[in-house]
Amino acid sequence: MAVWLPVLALVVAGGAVVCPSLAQSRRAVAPPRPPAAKVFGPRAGRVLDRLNRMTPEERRRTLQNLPPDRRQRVEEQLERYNRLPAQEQQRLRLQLDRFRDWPPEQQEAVRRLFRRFNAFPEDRRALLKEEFRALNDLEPADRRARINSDEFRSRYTLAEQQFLQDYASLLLPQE
Amino acid sequence: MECPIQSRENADLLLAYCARKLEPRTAAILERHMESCPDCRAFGDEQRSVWAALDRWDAQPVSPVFDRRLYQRLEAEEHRGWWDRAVRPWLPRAWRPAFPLAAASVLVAAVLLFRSPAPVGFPETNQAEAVDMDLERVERTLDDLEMLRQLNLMARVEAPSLQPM
Repeated sequence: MAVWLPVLALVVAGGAVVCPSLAQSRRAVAPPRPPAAKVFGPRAGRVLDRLNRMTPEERRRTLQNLPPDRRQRVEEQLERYNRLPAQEQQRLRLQLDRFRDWPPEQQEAVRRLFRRFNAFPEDRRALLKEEFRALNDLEPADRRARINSDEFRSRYTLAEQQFLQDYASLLLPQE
Repeated sequence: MECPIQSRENADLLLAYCARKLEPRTAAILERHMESCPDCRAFGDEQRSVWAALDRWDAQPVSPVFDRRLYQRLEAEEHRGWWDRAVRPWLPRAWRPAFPLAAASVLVAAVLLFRSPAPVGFPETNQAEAVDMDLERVERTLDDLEMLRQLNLMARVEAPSLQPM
């Protein structure tokens, strides 16, 4: 009996040594798994970490439960997100966390605003995005002044002006 | 006579006495001292009991093939492999017979592992994750990220910059 205990211990220890190395060698012949995305603090984007940790095959199987058009949309959005620099990804995820802390009806108001934005033609959207940046840089008083300026009124349609006013109402005063 | 234990100069007299190697005249002097010295008497009693025990012990007769086996082992020791020489001193004696058996077991386990059908593609596929993922949540997250990026609503960023409506 005293002899079998060491046998058992050695078998277990040997298995522990051999199995990981074997698994390693088997993994070497399989297609390389994408590097695990670093899990940042922001909680809202962790679902993307899960998705990014998946192999292409796993992701395909996961997304195949979606209708084709939605699946394609998810794949494109995920690709766009993954192409962003890591710092920008982190910034967006922080923003998403803050956004998700809002009351649901307010979140929905922003989503409605975004749907209105997407309804504009592409060239006008580019113009509006420039205006977003300009409005972001201004103090509230200067922002109001700009929205009421002749230049502003001449540059944008009534729908765009209304859209930009609603947009500006979501911005906090500069700190 | 000066006490051998106290003076520590004649301690060899006590040992020689206990080994029965002391000449009779000196032994008589020491015995007279021991009659009056409890320390030397106690020391002498203890030593005598050791010698008595050794006298009672009978050594086992040496096997007639002892020498032959000894030389065989010495020769085998000289021809041991480097692995055996490196590992053997670290293995407890009780484990040594078990080591070849354990090594064979590990080998069998390794062979079984190699022969098991290797998964095609990614071996770590997590089926449960693939099935259980909340796809609506994924879509919502991606939509919101896209929205925040396009609208640039939080350009002021890491500090809260959205104003609740």
